[in-house]
Amino acid sequence: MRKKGKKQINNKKIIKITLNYVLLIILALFFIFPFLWALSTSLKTATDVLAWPPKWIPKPATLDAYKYVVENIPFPRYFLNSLIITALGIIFNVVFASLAAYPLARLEFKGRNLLFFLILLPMMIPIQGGLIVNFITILNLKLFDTYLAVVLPSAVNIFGIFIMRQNYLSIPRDLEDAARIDGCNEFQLWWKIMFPMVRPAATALSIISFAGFWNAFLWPLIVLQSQNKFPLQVGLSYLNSMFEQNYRYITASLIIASIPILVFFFFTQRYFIEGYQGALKQ
Amino acid sequence: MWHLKLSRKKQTYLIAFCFLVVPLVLLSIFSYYPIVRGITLSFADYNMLTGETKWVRLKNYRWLFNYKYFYISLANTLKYLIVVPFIQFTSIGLAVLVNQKIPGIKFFRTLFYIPVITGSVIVSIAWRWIFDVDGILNYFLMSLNIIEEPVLWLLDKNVALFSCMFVTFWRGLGYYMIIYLAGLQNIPSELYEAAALDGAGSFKKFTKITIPLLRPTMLLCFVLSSMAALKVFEEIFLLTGGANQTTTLMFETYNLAFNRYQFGQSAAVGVIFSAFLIALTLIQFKFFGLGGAGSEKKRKKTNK
Repeated sequence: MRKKGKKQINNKKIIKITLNYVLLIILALFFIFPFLWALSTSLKTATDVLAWPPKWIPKPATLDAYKYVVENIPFPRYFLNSLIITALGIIFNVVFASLAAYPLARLEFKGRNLLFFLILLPMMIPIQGGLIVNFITILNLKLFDTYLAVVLPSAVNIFGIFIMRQNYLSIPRDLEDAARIDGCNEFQLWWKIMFPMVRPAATALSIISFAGFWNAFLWPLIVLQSQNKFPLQVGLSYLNSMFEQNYRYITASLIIASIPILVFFFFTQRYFIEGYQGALKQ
Repeated sequence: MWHLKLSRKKQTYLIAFCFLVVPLVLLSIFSYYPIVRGITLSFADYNMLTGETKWVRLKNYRWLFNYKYFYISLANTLKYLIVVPFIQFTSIGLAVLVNQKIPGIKFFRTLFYIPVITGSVIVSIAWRWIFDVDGILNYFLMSLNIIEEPVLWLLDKNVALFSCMFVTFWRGLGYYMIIYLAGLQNIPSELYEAAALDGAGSFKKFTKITIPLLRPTMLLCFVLSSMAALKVFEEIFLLTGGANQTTTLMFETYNLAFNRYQFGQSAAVGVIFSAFLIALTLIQFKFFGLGGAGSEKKRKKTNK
């Protein structure tokens, strides 16, 4: 009797796990289907693209579309531009947030809370209202069509300041006092004691900034003019309007453009997902 | 003499100033100033070539209230909020599913996250082409006999906005899934063990433990995704270009300024749009408590 009961439970478990995997696989297909379909189309011959009913597996497969796209489109240039913009953005975000959050969390001075409130205030107010004004400011600063123009308006990450402040707050007072007794001045205290303690938070922040700057689209579209400064996202939308109905070229460029970010994500995904979780947990 | 020691208090001020000055200057230029200037600009005509500003009082707003697409974009921006509950409940489901400890689960998490990481442009272009009249979606639905003739997913004004919403939905799921996953993993497992001892089934555990403890995360995600839904731009720009009555307030702000060079009118849309978002934020602050202090209190409470 007892044995039979155990077996039933076991069977139930197996069915449950199988159902789980079936569900997971269906969902996975739902999420990557557009990429698979793009991959298939990009490998088709010009006549097969228009075949009806659509062919799932390209036969014969050809790299013609890739060849055309690579020869006619400055992908490495777009990619490099994206890298420059993202790197600048991350550096600004992390440095400014680590700096600004420190006095707000650890130093006692008059007006500190008011200042913190003032810094959080723009979070409530959408940057969309500032789209035109910032555009005019960039023109007036003679920064139009520069990388700096893309990065500067979001160089100070308010959410970042918030995260960093929370982390500085959680450092025990004793540590600070001990360093003071050892003769650290305020700056050394920050650089040698405080900043190393919040490094995990800074890492999380840089991951969030990475996603933000790498995928930025509207603002770079507005402030950049020369094609050789376009980041990947802007370059791609430019191509899209150029090729319009030529699916082979569009899909081939989509696949090429996704590869770097997917490879990057593949190797860093653990940090990526942990970064998001870390920033929200505490 | 300079190496006379400053008093501790003065030193503190000096350090605070050094740390804060650059971030504050940047915030002033790109955050505070645009708020003030955006409002004044909405009462003026701005000439981009000469840089001249001409005061026109309420002319821009009057123009806007006679502009057909202002109403369409306003309605669409509100309609776009429909997407929020769908994203939230689906991503909670996903998070529960990928929170299991079974082999290969990290691989599936990664796959679900791919649309988030590849970026809106790649994703939108891919969908634009799936939604085509001769596209794979129509073929799929027709061969399954769900529809009889091709649907004009992006061209029919009754359907196009929903197609855009679907892409927003599809693209956002992974992002919120991760946040919910963090929330789920914050729930102490002792609670579930205790409930199991008391004989609670998995449904009861979900409704009595998971949902109540996930509440702060849910609030955060609802705020984030309703903000994102109201500010939607990429999907509209890349899927329909704002045609076929899919324009939104965000798209109109862009369109008026950078396609039609009507900066004053665009600023007026921006002001109305901002007022709208601020109202929404204030409502949400009621749940969160104001600014940093409130959310700290809330966090402490929920952690215990």
